[in-house]
Amino acid sequence: MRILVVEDDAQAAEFLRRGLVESGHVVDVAGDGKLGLSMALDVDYDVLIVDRMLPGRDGLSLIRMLRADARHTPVLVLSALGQVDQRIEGLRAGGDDYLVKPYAFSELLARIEVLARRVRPGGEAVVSTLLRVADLELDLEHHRVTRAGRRIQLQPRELRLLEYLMRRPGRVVTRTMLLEQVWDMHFDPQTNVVDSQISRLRAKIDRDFDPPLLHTLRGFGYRLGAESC
Amino acid sequence: MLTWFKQRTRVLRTSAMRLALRYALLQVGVLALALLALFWTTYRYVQLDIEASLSHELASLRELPQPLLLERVQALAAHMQGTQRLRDYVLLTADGVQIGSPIEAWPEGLPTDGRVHQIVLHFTDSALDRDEDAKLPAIASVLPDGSRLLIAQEAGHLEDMRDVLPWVALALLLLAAGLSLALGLALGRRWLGRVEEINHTTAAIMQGALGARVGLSERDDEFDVLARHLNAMLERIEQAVNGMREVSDNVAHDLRKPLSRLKTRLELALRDAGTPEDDRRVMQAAIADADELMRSFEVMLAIARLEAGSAIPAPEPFDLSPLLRRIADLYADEAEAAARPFTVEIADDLPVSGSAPLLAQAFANLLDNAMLHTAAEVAIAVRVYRDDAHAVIEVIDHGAGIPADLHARMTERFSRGDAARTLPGSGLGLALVRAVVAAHHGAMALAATPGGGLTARLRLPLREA
Repeated sequence: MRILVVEDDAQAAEFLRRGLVESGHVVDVAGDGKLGLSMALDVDYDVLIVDRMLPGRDGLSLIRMLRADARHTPVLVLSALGQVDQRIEGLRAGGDDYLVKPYAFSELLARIEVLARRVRPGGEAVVSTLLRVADLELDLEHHRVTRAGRRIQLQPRELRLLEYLMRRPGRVVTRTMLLEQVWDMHFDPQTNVVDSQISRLRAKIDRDFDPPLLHTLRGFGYRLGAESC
Repeated sequence: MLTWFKQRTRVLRTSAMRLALRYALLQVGVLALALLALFWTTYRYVQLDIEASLSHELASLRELPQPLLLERVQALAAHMQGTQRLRDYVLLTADGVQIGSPIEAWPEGLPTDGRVHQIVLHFTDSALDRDEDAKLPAIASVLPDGSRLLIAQEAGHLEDMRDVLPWVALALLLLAAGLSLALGLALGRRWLGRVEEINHTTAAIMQGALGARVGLSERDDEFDVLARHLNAMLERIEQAVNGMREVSDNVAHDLRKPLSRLKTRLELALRDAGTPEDDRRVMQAAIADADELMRSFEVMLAIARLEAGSAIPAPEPFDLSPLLRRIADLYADEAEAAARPFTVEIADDLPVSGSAPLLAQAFANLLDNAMLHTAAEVAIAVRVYRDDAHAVIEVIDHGAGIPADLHARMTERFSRGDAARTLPGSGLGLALVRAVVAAHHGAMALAATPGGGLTARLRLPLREA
């Protein structure tokens, strides 16, 4: 993937660049908002990573300008401003995801891969109602889940979790991503509600079947896919 | 000496003094005008009175037959001669004989029309050693036999009044001005005294004595009202500062703990060269420590922002029911996994206005608390219902509960029951709940569950339809 990092903290930008390059991406770095905007308009990037507080032009206005120019490049906003209303502000400005500093690099990696995947195959209009991962099928129109042709009964909240995972097959999704994007919880509960939801889902889709599809990467996140890690 | 002088001039520069000066000026002006008007009207009335009296006397003298009139004029003139003269009488007969008062000659300028005129008369009286001109109100008339009669009013008291009045007026004006200035000076000194009191207090506070308060007098005047308001404000600020100090103490305490754990963990790993596997484990644990620190930090920030009243800039209308149901369901699933009895009872249609994410977090915090601080088999119930214009959210557990006297303290930051000290958690959960609820104009209460356990109850005002 071709990624543009707009970040004024040189050390943080270098750290990001190295990490992303090691993960096999092509990375450009812009040190301020003005340069960042002109680069984002000139080059067709797959993902932008934009720091919120930038010299020249702040991150949110950069995103607004970009969206005003009808560019739908997915943007991940990075910010030290982590309160709920500040996140919402970031997303309303046109950001696709919001990550609060300090963040785990693995979390960032998981998020940009999911972001890029979301738009990539032929524009965003394709919202398929029939999802398939290996022999697991989800028919969103009829709320039907089958594996190897056998019907599986799921509750609505389990369905929503499964849909989120099935739309990102083979990708790592983190605990925070699930909390934010599946349950709209912008905080970290002390109890392990995410794990118990995953266990419930796994019990229904994996217990009686082979191979296991829903994998847990300890201390990292979850992944849905036939191939084990 | 210099300070004394400064003190004096400070009084002169007070607004009371300036006000008094202005008022003194105004007062003197108004008083002068009033006196002038009074003087003029009195003078005018006295003159009118004199004119009437002169006309009357002339008329009555005219009635008298000639010989009698002659005698009468002589008698009147003689009577007035010795003592303080009030009136002068002059009769000029047709054959040119002048009798009566010692006027040098008949004043030719005086019309004999029976009306009062001001005329200059020249008196020569050897007996009284009088030789002077006097402008007097006089009346004259021609009698039927051709003789002429003149009556003039001596100025007397009227003259005195004209002489004395300006001095009286001046004295009065000076008195008024002096009083005003004295009052201003006294007021200025008093105000200065009261302001000085406030200045001393603020100076003391600037020196760091946050407990200093402005002294109150017993008069309950505007200065006392000001002082009371200042004191109330200072109270509030002191509370805030103390609260902040308490928070920073607590932050130091509660953040230092995980920080030192993190540091120790890393130092130990550095010293005991372990396998790469060991190192990875240590690093993961270190990241978990850092995450916990960040979480505490975020929550503290959230509480601070809520309590500063800036956290819900744009409240949005939404229905509480589906939000709470969604979260309660997640926890119900988790309880089920742990074989814990968990009942959920949520009324429909609870429109509120505010921040859904924050209320979700508050509700989840209550559920977290119930789950973490009771044994796994303890039953938990969630009850959400409408009570008049409020939505009531209850999270009820049937665990060990906490002593009633600790209920209030439990919502303070970093406050944790003794039993909970060894459990994970920052002790910020309930403080955040309280701050969120307060920011939504609601109330939070902890109570004992009948039959044992703790009930956390939130009351949130419903949005009016």
